[in-house]
Amino acid sequence: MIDDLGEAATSEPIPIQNINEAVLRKVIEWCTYHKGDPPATNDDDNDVRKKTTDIDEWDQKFMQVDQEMLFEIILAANYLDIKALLDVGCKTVANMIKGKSPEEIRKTFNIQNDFTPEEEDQIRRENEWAEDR
Amino acid sequence: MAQGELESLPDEILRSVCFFLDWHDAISLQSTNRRFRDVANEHLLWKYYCQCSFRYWAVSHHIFSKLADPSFVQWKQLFKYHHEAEIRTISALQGVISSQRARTPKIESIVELGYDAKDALLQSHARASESDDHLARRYWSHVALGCLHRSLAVQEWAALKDGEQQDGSFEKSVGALDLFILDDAREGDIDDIFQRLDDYIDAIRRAHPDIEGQSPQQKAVTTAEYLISNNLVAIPEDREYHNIEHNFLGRALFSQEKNSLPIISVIIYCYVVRQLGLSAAPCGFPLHVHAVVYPPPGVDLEGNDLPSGADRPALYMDPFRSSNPVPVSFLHEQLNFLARQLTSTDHNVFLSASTPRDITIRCARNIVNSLQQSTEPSSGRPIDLVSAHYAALWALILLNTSITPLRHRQHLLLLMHLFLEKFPHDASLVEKHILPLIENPSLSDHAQMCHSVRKADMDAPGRVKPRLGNADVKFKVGQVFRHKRYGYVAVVTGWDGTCDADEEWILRMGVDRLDGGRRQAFYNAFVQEDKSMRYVAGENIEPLPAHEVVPEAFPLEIGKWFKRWDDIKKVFVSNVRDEYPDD
Repeated sequence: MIDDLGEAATSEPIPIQNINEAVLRKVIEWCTYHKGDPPATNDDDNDVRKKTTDIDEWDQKFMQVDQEMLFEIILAANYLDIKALLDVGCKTVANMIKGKSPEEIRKTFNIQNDFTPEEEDQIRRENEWAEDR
Repeated sequence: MAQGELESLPDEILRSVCFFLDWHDAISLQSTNRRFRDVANEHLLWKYYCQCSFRYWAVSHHIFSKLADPSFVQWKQLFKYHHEAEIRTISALQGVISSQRARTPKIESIVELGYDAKDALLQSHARASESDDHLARRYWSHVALGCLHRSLAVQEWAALKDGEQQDGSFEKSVGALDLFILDDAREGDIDDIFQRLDDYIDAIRRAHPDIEGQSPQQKAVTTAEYLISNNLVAIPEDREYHNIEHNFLGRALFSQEKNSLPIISVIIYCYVVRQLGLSAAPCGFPLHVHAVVYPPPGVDLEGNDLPSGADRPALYMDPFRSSNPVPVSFLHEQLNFLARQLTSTDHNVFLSASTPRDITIRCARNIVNSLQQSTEPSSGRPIDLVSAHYAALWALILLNTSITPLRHRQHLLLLMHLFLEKFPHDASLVEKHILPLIENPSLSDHAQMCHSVRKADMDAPGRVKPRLGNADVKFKVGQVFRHKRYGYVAVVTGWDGTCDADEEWILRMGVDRLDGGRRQAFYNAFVQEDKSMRYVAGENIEPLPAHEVVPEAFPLEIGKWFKRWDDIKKVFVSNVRDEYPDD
């Protein structure tokens, strides 16, 4: 396929904007490790199952980076359309949210509470039903 | 870890993150700030939570049409509704477990929630072992689940009885019998039945890609061939024909063997050929139900155009025995052989399509018949024979209006007996569907019986029996013993200071010939082997040595009286302390 593209395709660099070198190295490291993975099976849309947030050991280690790098990797995976890496990134973020209170989530991700007292009251009332479980 | 900016991620990625969260984490995330409030509020996210959190939905939600309707967006509200139904279910169940009083209204409050309660009941049943009252929890979840299933089955039949007969569905009405024996099975519910039947059609289409182009008769034969050669219908020689298992549509579809009586095989067959564009229904042929199959309007069985005004040709199939059509002349001969005096009108009745109502009645009669004839145990999950009988009686009473008053009275008596002894929490079903069938209901024994069942539930535990003043009562509720004379193993579920049975029983049992006579303590006991209840004189009780007790050998019903087995004291821990506060 690459042959069809002609000389220019292989000799000219492809500009990858938005991704710095350190992040790109991480992405390449991930791709190299996973290059032998079987292709993802197409999930049957009719069969809705709970998505697991289990991450295999190597990926867990790979994702032990600071938040800034984590988000950069996720953005890069999204930009380069590497679905499996994007999933690992999203799972990692999801695991950082799981089981935490709103205040703990804010602290973990430095999220600014921009609710007015009225809004805060409203969202509390809206989600009151979820309290007793 | 250095903090980055989670908010630097675009909405689409944040949304993907939400799909990996549990629903309550999404709620927490919503409360952090405005952006996350909106991201985690997405209706597709909540549709996903609805789908992966709950398997069963009350009919009133019309969940399948909502799932298929992209304009429906109220998923979070729907989730909330279902979630709240589960909370109510769990709290009502807790009430049932923790107090002997007024269990029936609490169970009824669960049944009213319909299938919004089913996930919670199944989960409570499955996860009972994590709790310290697991015997009671498992038993009462089982009771509530049974009440829920039966109420749906009875509603189905009541609708069939009141509505247009032709409107009913064979699969739903006959599948309703399965609901009585379903218990906590993961498969075999009405929706599963349709799902499995649709799987059969897909499989046939895969095996015969040309089937849509076949003539009506070829389609009928191909389908029968497929079902027979894949052992999806009929009963092999080496299995007992009348095995109770063969009477239930759900069982025929989900058991390992997939065996079924002709009537069930025909229902399966008819459903499949209908999906292939033919008309088909079981016909009410005596002794052995056949399928009557019609080509689409305007064509004959070979698929050629019919001259206008010509009779619609019918094809008779017996997928229980063969994939070849049955000649109609043969059926006429058989009818003549069975009864010579039949008119041609009679013949027509026996050879035309039957109704779901008549077919369900026939299935119910088969069940009663199997219960009398069969000895072979079912191959898969055991079928509770009492529940199977109860199912048949309900169907017969609700649907069969053309039987003799005497037969009707017999069925009613049997049903009321089972209600009283085994299913007392079905009170509202009996009040709603049985009592109106009785003349002068307020005067009848049945109404009195129903009233006293309710009253006993509301007044439970009745007489409270403290230990004080009952010093002679040696054994406590929860003691496992062996009967000195009869040898069976049982557990004490209650006691009286002296024999409390009526005079007739005392005389019949020869109580006065016992060493201690009638003035000794008597014990109510639940027998491990056959689930029967006995009333035993104290002198006949021999506590079983601790190492001989196998607590797991007691059937599920042990949970009616006990929370759990205490492995240190070697007794069952009482859950009837309202009645026996010191045991």
